[in-house]
Amino acid sequence: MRTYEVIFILRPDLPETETDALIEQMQQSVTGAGGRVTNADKCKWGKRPLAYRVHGQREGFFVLFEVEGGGEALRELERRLKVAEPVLKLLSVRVDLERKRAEKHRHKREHRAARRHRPAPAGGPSAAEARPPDGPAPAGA
Amino acid sequence: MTDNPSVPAPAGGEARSPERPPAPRGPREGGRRDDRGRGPRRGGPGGGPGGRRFFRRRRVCKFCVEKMDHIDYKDVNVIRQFVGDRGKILPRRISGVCAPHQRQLKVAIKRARNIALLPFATLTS
Repeated sequence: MRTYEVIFILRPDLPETETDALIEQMQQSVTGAGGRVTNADKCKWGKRPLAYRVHGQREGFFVLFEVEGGGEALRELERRLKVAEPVLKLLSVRVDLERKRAEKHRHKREHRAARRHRPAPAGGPSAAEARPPDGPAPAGA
Repeated sequence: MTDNPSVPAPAGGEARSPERPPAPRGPREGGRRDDRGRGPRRGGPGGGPGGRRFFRRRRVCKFCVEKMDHIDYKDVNVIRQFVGDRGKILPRRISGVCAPHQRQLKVAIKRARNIALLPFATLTS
């Protein structure tokens, strides 16, 4: 199972109902190909200015999908997006490896920091001693 | 080695740089100072005849300071700091980013350009 980020830009002059319909359609194409859009409820970024003109447009409606699934799901989604007329641009990035790497780095650093700050761990036997002796009768019995 | 016991200066010299003999230090240091003076003046922005001191930037990688393990192409506000006015990627020697982070940054900038979050080039008239 892989995780992808697929970001695409729709024409800004598209009516909201059509935008929603297209997003819905794309999500269904992912689920139809055995994938899953994990951020389906908050995938819309809304209108943002473009850094350069694309098909004469100076702004666009950005949508970001996080897709979980195999390559077929992504291929189907990409194909549908490329065919769809209101899509100005699309970019898909595989993110699971990068995230794993970042996670590993974070763990490593935390480990290092923990070792540096606590050079001599103590309190193993004392914790055992501190345990309250069981025996007092349960109140209200 | 012959003048070591007679002159007390080599002790101080040793403390500063243990492997360098004191004799060639004079001319070499002069040569180096010359180079040092010329380098920044050529590269620095407007190092005029006033002999202004070269402003050395704090060379600390911002991503290391903030402990960012991953540079995301989507947060444009972070990435934009490492792109010049023309939209070019700033070199490491100016931004002070460490090499591993510069590699990540490069990828992030290129992705951001591809999806029109950052310009490929901006026209300056």
